[in-house]
Amino acid sequence: MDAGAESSLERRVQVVSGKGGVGRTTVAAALALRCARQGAKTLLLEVDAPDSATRLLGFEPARDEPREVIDHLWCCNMTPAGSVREYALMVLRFKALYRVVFENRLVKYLLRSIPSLGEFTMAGKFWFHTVQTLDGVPRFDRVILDAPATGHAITFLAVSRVVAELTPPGPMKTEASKMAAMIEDPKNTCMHVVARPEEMPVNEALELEQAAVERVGIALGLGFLNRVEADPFTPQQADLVRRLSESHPEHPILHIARLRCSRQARSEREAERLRSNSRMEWLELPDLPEAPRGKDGLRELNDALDRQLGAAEGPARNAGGAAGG
Amino acid sequence: MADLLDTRCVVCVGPGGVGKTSTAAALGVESAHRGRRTVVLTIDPARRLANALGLPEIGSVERDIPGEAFEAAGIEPPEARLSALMLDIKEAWDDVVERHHPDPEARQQLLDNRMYRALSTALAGSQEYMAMEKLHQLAVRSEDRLDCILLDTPPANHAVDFLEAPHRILDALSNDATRWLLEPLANHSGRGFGRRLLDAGSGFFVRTISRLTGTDMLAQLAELLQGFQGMLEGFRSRAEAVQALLRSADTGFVVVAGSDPDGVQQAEAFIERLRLRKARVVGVVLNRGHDGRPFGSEDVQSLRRALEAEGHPECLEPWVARARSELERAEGEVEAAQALAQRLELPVWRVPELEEDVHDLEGLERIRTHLADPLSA
Repeated sequence: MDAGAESSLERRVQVVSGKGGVGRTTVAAALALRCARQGAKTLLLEVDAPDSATRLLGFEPARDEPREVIDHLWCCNMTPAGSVREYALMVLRFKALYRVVFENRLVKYLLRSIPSLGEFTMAGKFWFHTVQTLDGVPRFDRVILDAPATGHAITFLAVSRVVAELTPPGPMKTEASKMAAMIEDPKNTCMHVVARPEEMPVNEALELEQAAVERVGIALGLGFLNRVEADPFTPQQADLVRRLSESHPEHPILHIARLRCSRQARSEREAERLRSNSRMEWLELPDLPEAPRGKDGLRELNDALDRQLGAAEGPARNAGGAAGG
Repeated sequence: MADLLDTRCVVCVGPGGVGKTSTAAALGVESAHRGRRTVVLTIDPARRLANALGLPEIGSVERDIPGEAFEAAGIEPPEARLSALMLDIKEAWDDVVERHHPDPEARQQLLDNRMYRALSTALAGSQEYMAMEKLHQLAVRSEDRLDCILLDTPPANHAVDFLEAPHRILDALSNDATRWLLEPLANHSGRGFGRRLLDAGSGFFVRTISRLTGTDMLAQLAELLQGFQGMLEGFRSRAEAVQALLRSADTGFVVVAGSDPDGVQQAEAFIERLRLRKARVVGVVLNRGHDGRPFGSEDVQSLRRALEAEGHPECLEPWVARARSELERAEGEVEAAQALAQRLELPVWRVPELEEDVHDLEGLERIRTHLADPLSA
């Protein structure tokens, strides 16, 4: 299973999703940094989220055009309007024609009324960057998509499949089929799922996993169980907390200890439920005292990741992981 | 919470994963306890609301939370009736078409249009628009009149999605562009339609756009827009009524966010955008706060004695450190929340993270106690 974990982190195209608030963007940014540090030309792609990942990394907000922020790492934020424009320019090839037609106020309105055109062209842009070449070589070796939360991610990823199935023959159908084929190619693409060890995020992770397979046809990558208690109480300590809280019910320090113990128990229960109902492998990311910020903050998460991958693969890998950050 | 729930329509907005649904549900229970006939409306298909309200499921038909459910959880049932419903977007669109389309034949053609089917579930803003339609429908109904409607909205990056949805949909369906380009042709839908589309006066534009979309797609779009024509007036007047309702004194927005610095920042950004669009914000709920309790040296001493008696003096230091860091975080959050309340002149409630996930009425009850009094600014 370790080989599987390692290899899904080496897929060209990695999609990251999960319930809102579980740390999708943090994980996507950490993975992108990891790829870039390993020397792969990496694109971190956001879906209409102007400053989430870049703010996290401490860079200027990303635009529609990929910008290299540090060595080997590009950031890009797709917007519906920007993607429609880019797509139109690509098809038409003439800027002047684009201006005359697509910057016409009435036409702009018309385009807005085509259902899902924005999502579709953003999915198209996503696909384009995965196959884009510069001077005959791929522009990016890795594309990490910071996808929207569960339901919207499925809609977004399924849009090409839906368009390919529903649209009459035409350029959109052709494009859509190519996009769907890229997303459904297990050698090329996978989806990582982020969750927290809490009831609702676990429910959504399981729903997402099912929908990814059934409605999108994307291969499953790794699960990331985010914000796991880094310094847990041992069972003996937990027992001690419970006994002492009974004899000192209002003690403020014991109150916190008891709270932390019961949260820990809940986390363990939910993590267990997730693992036994999921077919993915779940790695744990620690709950850091401060929300990770900037390149160095994210390095801590990557170190934790490397330790687990390393531990799973034996001492040689472990040493490499520790030195590699 | 008194003022907040005096409003007839309470719209909970905020980013994902901050307990918006549970907050809406807890406010719903509180409202019913105040003797007001209440409905909680969610568009969240993840069944979170059903879970929290102790129902096996919530469908598009209003369903009461029975008094026995409260009694079984050891809670006094509220005075007034409390019910919940979930919005099914596809069903809601069909419902609007069925009820408001004047021509039965055109109605069926519309319902069968492939783009209509895509539109009704996938068009951006469609969910928000239908939630607004539903809110309005609930607000104006005379039978079983509602005193309070709590709307749980889908997670949004931008709080204004809701305020703008009616306009966006109206724009899409009725704007001059679509009429100018497509309407003259749409009178004869059916075979050969695509060709006629290209031959029209606006053909140059249409031809260029169709290089992107294919001709058939535009033809279907034209048919769709034609199908909506008969309903446009109704759409427009209802959208206007919805807009008016959202900006009236009958509607209040509650912004729900996390207690951490990010959450406070998000809440403030939401409020700014809402106010810019003349929406009335009535309160802020900051969830998932740290639950620190002040302690002194006598507390440390008593714990030291207890741990020594148990033979585990080594636990003292880490436990005290935990309690201290929790307290520091809690104090920081309270300060930030108070500053927010002062800056925005709004009541702010802070709800500490609960020991257990909220998945039943008992959990809601715990939130409700925390929502009793806002922080004093």
